[in-house]
Formats: sequence, C-alpha cells, structure tokens
Amino acid sequence: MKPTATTGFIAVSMENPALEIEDFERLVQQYRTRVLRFVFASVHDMDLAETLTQDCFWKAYRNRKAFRGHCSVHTWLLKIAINLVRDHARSRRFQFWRKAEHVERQEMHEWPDRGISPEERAAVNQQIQAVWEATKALSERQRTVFLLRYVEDLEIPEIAQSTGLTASTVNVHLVRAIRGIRKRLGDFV
Amino acid sequence: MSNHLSSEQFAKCFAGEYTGAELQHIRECSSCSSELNRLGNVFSAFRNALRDRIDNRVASQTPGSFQFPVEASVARPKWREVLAIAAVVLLGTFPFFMSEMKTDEALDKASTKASADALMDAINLHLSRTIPSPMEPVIFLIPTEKSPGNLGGVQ
Repeated sequence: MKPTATTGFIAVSMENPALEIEDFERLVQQYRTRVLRFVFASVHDMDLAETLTQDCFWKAYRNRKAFRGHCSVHTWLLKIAINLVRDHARSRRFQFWRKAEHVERQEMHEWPDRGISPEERAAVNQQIQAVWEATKALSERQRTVFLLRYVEDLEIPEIAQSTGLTASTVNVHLVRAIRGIRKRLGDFV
Repeated sequence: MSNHLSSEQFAKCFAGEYTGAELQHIRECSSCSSELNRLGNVFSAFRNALRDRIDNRVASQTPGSFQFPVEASVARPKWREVLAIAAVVLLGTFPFFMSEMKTDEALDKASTKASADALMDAINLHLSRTIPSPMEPVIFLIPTEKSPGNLGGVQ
C-alpha cells in the first residue's frame, strides 16, 4: 500500500501528490463545507465567507502542482483560507471608513430542536450567541486557533502546520482565547 | 490546593495543559470540574450550531455552484489561435497590397511620361508657327502659290 498524507476522503500519494488531486471537483465537494465553516466563523459574514472560500479553492487549484503532501489536504486548504482571512482583515484595517457602513448582524443558527424543552433551548441559544460574540472580540490569531481546535477538531500539531506557528505558541494563543471567551461568557456558563 | 483554579489555570486545564496538582484539584473539587464540563458543553453546542448552519447552507445550494476557475493555460491557446490567424491573414494579403501599389506607381509614371510628351509636342508646335496664333484664322484668306488667283474675288 502506498503511503498517503491523509486518511481523509482524498488520499494523497507521497510519490506524486500533485497528480492525485487532479480531480479537483471532488476535492471541492468534500472540503468546501469545512473551509466555508471556518471562514464564516472567522469573518462573521456569510457572503464574504462564500467569496473567500471560492478564492481559497481557486488558489489551491492554481497551486495544486506545488502541493507535496507534507500535510493533509484539509490542513493545506485551511492554511490557504487562514492567509485569505488574514489578508482580508489587513485590507479592511486600512479602509477605516467602512466602519461607518451598515453591517448586517449575522446571528448564529439556532440550536436544533433535539428533544429539549423550550427553556433549555433558549438558554443554549443564548450561550451559542454569547460564544459567537465572544469570538469577535478575540485577536485574529486567538480566534483562528480557537476555531481550529474547537470547531474543526484539529490537534495542536495540525493547527501549528496550518498557522505556521510553533506548537507552544499555539497553546499560548489557545489558553488566552479560552480565558477571553470564558470571561465574556460570564453568567451564561 | 485549597482555592479554586485561577482563570489561567482553568484555561490551561481546559486546553489539556494541567499539572498533577491541578488534575488532583479537578478530581476533588466538584465546582471546578462541573464548570469545566459546562464550558465544554457550551463549546460543543457552538460547534454543532455552526456545523448545522453551514451544512444547511451548502445543502440548499446546487452541487455545481462552485465556479471552477478557467486556467490561464487553457485560455491562452484561444488567444494564440486568434493571433496566428491574424498573422496569416496579414502575411497573405501583404504581397497583394504590395503588387497593387507597384501597379499604381507604374501607371502614374506612364501617365506622367505621356503628359510630358504631349506638352513637348504642344510647345514644339507653338514654336514652329510662322505666324502668331491670333493671326491663324486670317492666314487662310492670304493667297499662296498653291492657291490659284481666282481666290482674289470677282473680276
């Protein structure tokens, strides 16, 4: 059996990984949800998240020959997405007049009715919304690390690969993110 | 450890970075352990809500909604074809234009030469006149040796 870089949906051969991801349509179908989820949670704007996700796959497609299989396809795509989100944040920082624009409030999806009482459901919805708001207050790196760990379920070494940080730095950002969110959650927990 | 976990210790424990003493405290302190559980449940609910939202969004879209990029290497041959066709057309029609231009030049030269000859003939004719041109209508009234004397009128 040939060595592969990931055990996910698309196995990438170590011998010639570029050839293995030629079936790009399939790759988009399988990773789009995960990339969109991370980008949406990062930018808090669904339309922008769709655009950045599109850009992410476009960049991945253009650079697919350069993919050497050193990490999983998921990590590789998230790395591209993180850079796009960072570039977008930097470009917005200089467009300070945009702050005056009307920003549509993007509410989180409500907790689905899974056999809990309406009171419990309302309480959970409040908690979800509180976490959603708390992530906005985090620094870009703290938010990225938090989302990769607790939404995308990545391990610390995978987060380090995606962000280009060391594992110890990832841990520092993660602890700060948890502290910040817990502080903001206050009575909701 | 008599007190509860500090904010820093709590966050480190939640992230999985706990010391032996902190782990012991969590085992013994129901308040700290239940708070850790509650925070874990909140994060879990957040993750599930986010996943539901994105899953619903993606499911509502058509499968082929991703606009696949047109790679530059794929688009380039079309431009190359157009440029090649234009070059062939130009190269094909260039000799024709050149020959047309040469023919026009020859005609111009010929017409110039013909007009110059005609002008010289007219000049020669003018210079060879025996009488001034205003007198030419009268010359026919003057009798010559060739014309008999009966032209002189009624005798």
